[in-house]
Amino acid sequence: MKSYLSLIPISAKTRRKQNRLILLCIIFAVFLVTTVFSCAEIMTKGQTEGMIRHHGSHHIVISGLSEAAAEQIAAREDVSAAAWCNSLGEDVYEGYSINDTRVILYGAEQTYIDTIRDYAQEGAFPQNDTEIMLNTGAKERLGVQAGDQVILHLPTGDFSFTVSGFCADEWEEYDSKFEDVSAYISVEAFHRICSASGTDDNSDIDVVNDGKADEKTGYYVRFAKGADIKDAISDLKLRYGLESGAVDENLVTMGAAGASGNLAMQSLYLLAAIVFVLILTAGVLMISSCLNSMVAQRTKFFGMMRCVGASREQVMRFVRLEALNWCKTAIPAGLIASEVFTFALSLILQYKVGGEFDDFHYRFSVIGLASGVLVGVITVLLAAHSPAKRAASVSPVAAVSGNAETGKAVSHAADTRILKVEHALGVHHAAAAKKNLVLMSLSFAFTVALFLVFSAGLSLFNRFMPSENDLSPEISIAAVDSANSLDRGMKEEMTVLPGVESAFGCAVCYGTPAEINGVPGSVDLISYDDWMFQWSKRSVTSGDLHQVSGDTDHVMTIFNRDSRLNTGDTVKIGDTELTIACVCSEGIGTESRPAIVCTEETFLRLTGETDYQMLGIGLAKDAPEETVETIRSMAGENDFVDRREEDQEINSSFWVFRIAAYGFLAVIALITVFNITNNISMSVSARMKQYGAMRAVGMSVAQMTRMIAAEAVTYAVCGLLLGYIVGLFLHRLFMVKLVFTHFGGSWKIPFEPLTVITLIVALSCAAAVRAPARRIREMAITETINEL
Amino acid sequence: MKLLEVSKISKTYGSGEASVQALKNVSFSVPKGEYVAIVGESGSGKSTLLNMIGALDVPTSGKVWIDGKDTFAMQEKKLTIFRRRNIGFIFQAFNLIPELTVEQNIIFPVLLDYQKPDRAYLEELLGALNLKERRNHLPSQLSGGQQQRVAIGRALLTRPALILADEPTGNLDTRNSNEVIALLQAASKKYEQTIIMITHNRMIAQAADRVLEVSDGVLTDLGGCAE
Repeated sequence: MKSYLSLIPISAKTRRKQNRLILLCIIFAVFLVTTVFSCAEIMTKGQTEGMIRHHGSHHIVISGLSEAAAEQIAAREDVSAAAWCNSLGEDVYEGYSINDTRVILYGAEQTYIDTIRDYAQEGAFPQNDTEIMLNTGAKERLGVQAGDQVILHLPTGDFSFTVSGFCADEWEEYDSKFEDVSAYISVEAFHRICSASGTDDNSDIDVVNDGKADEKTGYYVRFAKGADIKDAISDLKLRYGLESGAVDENLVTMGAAGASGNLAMQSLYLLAAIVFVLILTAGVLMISSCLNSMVAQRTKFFGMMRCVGASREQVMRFVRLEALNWCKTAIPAGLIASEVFTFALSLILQYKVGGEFDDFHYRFSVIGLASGVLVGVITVLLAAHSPAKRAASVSPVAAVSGNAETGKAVSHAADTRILKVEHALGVHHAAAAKKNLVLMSLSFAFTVALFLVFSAGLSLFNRFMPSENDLSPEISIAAVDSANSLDRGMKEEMTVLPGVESAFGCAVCYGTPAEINGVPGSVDLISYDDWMFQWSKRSVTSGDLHQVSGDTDHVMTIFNRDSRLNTGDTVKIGDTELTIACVCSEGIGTESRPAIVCTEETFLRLTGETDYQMLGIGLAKDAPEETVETIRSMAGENDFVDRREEDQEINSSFWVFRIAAYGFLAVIALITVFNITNNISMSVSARMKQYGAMRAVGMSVAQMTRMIAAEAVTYAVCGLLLGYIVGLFLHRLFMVKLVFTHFGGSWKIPFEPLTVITLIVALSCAAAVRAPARRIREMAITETINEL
Repeated sequence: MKLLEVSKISKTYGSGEASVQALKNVSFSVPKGEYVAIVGESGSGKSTLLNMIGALDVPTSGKVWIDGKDTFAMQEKKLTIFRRRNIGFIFQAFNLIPELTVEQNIIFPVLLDYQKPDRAYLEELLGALNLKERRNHLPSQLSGGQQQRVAIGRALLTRPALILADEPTGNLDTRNSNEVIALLQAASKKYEQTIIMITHNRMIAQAADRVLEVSDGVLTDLGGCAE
């Protein structure tokens, strides 16, 4: 042994089992930090690359620039790439085609394709005025190969080109439904075509000449790495007399270079900073709590160190270095676990979720790993600070007894009149340390309040989730002229199709003149069928839906924050006075007018119409494609909308959000569990001698466990009560401000989330009691009873 | 009538070359109401023997019968209840519960049984122990002697047949030591309780009905002091 610090690895070996929890804490903190930062980097880089693919790697596009000025800009030292790219027919179809397929025509320099856009290519870029490069989709759409001749048809004439190659341009990736063709020719050929068609190719962006062409011209500039982009842009504007509108910034690359004042990018950086602080705090709390527990259990050891002459500073250094020693194992383990998790997550997001997560390709994140190591070490050092001080402050005499709290005076006795003695003692142990009780209660209350706020947030998101709203079904058919012209029989026919879960129909009379509470106005009169009324039951906010049945003058209304009709209000349509019997928060209607929902019988009496304006069909997950085709053919000329793919993508995104939200919540709950576990553990360690005596005079292990449980329950009950009060207040505030204002409804006590969080807290208590109870079970009574 | 019978008790700590035999084939018996003192050097095995008798520790071999019951044949739960009702412990370090008052500490074993204490007997004990004035005090508000008297009260409340005392006067001055021993002797006589006490104090040992000496784990019956 070179110094007393050589004891650290020896001690770590002998205390391997006891150190397991601390190691797990550090691994978890490192895992969390690395995962969050790796995912953030992968997401940001993936999105940035995706955006760059879609929008280009240039920083600015300059319009109205002369050839000479362009040459000077390209020669600048702070410019890494610059190229012309002009387009025709990007936004407005002006009759350019190849083989009757619409063409978007680009006149570009090779640098634009190779460097600025970095499109994957097959073959070569046009080397002369007679060559053309098409997008890869054109191969199939036009049935052409490199070397084939194609005729570009323009309203002013036809131009013949040889296909020099293909490129996977933004249109291919941006929209899989893109059915047109994009074609790239040299800038010279572009000028030739523009001259022939009479367009002014030197015009500014979005100039349409005589309604003949939608032409954009631009000089794309990418600055060199390290260039002061803001200064460079100002310089270009000044030097070439460019107006603000002439320089269009590419927010993606500018943001990535940190040069954009764009709010979205700034918000992302802010979010990352918040996550950083949250994880750092959580990590410090977790590890500190574990280390405190460890110090409490090893009071005797630290006391012995002090007895044999170790100074306070030496004990502190010992605890800090011991914590850092754990990092040797824990940090690599956390990093490996994180990389494995991130890899699995990227596969799931890419292949199972898809949609906006398509760009989530796994990559080795240096930032993630570095922040894992860095935050791991910082967290451990910060976390070790307080336990180190605690260990150093243990008096040698008290320490040798193994009881950190020996000598702490008790101010009042436990009340054994109401509670059983073991319960009374447990409650007393919790309540006696006021500061600890407050901290533990706050910790629980924080979890409870956060859970309730999250549940309010989720109920807001659920309103937007298509799968949660059966009135936004997978398939819908709307009458082409917005009239009630869909045959009622169609609904019955669709209901029996295989894979159809539900079918409903409604008739609508938009803007029906009516007197609302005696005031002239207009309403949207809507008929619901039985299925729709059944569905509406869950969103009733006031009144009685059962009254809206058969041929009745009672109607229902959908909450509308502008009109705010209530039960008992009257709506007179023609000579018939209808009474609002029920208000629902969700349903079909427009924002602009009050929606009055009546039965089909009432609708027939009021309007004389029997057919539907809209049909909705809910499909089972395994519904056969033939069913969809049958419905499509039944729809005929009417508007047929298939939302399956869109719904799937939105649902996937919502699920990812849910998992992330609940994952975050799980971390908070886990910290609470760690806190309570360690507090109970510390409390038990501090009273080990006392517990030994209790066992000796006849307290059973079960009674002992109940005593520890009573202590945990005291913390939990105080925390729950505080959490209920704060959480319900915040839940109500969020629901009223964010949900009910927009969707209607009234606040009710959220029993479901309350039950869930109460169960979580109860489980935390059970988990917290388990380990100390085991320690007591395994405790040798004889070791503690006669110690001083 | 034998209240306690110890038969061929051995206790070995560790294994192989590092093993230490704390007790070697110890056998003896104690009749009801006898006051026995155990003496011996530090580390001779006295406390180990007392812990075996009180079923706080398990012997490597041998048996202990208390009131005809084989304590090591009992399940842990049953043994705990047996200990609570039949054995009273008095420790050198008092081992009172700091959160409970004098009265609560004394009735603690009864509270663990979820029973109500015999109030008359409690009052009698408090009086005998001279603790009536202090009944609502916490242990931290008492002197060492008073704390040991509370521990004696706790050991006596359930009227156990056997009281085991491990150096009960070790932390007390001479006056308090004499008081405590007098109290124990009086209880032994009055309630016909068997007392086994470890002590280093020759004077205290001399007051016992019988003295047992433990040396290197071997027990020798020194007989009655009067003899």
